[in-house]
Amino acid sequence: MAKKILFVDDSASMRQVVGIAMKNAGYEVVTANDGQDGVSKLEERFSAIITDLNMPNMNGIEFIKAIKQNANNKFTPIIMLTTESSDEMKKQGQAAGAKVWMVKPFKPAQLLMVLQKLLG
Amino acid sequence: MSASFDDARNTYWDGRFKRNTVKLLPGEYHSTTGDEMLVTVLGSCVAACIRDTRSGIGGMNHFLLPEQRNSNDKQNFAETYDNSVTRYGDLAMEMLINDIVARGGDRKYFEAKIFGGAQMFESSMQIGARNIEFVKEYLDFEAISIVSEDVAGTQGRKVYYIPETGEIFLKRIVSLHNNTIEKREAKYLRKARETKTEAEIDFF
Amino acid sequence: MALDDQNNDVQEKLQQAHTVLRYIFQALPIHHQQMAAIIEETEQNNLLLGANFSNLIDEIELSVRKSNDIKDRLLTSDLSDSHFDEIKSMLDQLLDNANSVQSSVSEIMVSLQYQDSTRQILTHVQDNLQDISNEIIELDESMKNTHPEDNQKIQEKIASNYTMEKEREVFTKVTGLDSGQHADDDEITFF
Repeated sequence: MAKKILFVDDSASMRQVVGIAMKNAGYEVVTANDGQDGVSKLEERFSAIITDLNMPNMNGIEFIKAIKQNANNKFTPIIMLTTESSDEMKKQGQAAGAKVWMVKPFKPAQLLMVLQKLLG
Repeated sequence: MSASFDDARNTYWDGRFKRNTVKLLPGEYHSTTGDEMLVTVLGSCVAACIRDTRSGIGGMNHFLLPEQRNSNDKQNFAETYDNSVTRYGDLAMEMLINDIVARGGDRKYFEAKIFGGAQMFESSMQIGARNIEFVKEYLDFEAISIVSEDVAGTQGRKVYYIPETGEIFLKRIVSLHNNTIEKREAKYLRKARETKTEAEIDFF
Repeated sequence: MALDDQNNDVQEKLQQAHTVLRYIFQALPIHHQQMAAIIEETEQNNLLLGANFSNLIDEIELSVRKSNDIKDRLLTSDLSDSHFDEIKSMLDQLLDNANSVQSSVSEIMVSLQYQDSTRQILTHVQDNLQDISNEIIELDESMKNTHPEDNQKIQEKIASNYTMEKEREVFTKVTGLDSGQHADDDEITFF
């Protein structure tokens, strides 16, 4: 059974690249294009959730808070994948409940390493 | 002699090294009097990089097996002139050396560097080992000293050779078959880049 | 009279400032649209690149699998020694080639991600251009209704820098004007 990952980002290019990286490593990827869209996918339980920070309608931090409120996914590990690298934002992410903060662009091997660490 | 398969088809400009680069496929050889760089990928194959240290004229070959056992092929060589025969070490070495000499290289000043001969897969064939043994015997017989080598092991290699200076850059290749994703790069191939090339990761 | 001279001087300067502002105000919507067009186009291009790249990776994966299958078959068959060596060696090379592609794959995936920050930055520039427009209107409502013949001169000056059909298309869309030059239908012109 392939592990299911939710990836949320308002950039079509990012959704495509993450899709490629995950597919060749045997993960099943579901995508959403902002926090709001992401929330609508939370009816399923995911092995991990990867999200961007700056998105229209609902940003990454708010989305993380929404995930923590969701019965299916409140224990799902969350990875922040963003261009943002400020300590201030990292602290906010950590406080909201993210497990990992990654600054774009990423190498496919790095993302897989992080998932391996979180999911075993 | 008519144009040969020595006129390598794969030439490109390498932006990192800032050189015209000739990519050698298995069975090919190429030598140059200029500043070109030669590149090839090796598994169990062996590449001999030979140059005249005084003039910088030199070249590289890439062979798969030590010797052609079927002697008919050797006779047909002059007529067919295609690189299915220089995939054999004995012809590949002979052709390369003759080519360098023809371009003005002096045997007295020849030095060699050898690469490859890895055992890529589980097999009793030991092709890599046989290729290494062959090339060392050949160069010894020709009185060409081997000044450096990176041979055997279980990993593929990508070899960059600049005959003009004698420089070698070597990249190791991690096998896809073993499901390893990250390719280890020889550190002298990595130049510092100004733009970010990978993520900064924080675990909380 | 000195005071009159000073007044005239100030009037003249105000007039000049007004002209410059008018120029900027006319130019901004055009630049804004050009940016929108290029954001859209680079997004499409990048996605197309990514799709082709994904196909390429699939093909390589397939050929690796096939090579391994052939290898497995060979190990159980009964061929003459030298043929066996040759074929095995060629397979080794095939697999080597596939391996050496791995680091390029990784680098390309990093490059594909740059479109995201390009798009973000261009969008920020667009927003800032819009802010400038808004500032100018606040300064002078009358900017909205300005001399049409002067506007046209300004716009034509902007279009005189253009070298591509797509720039001219956007320009015409915004201003309703002809940019003054047109490409042939053919991409290739013979002399």
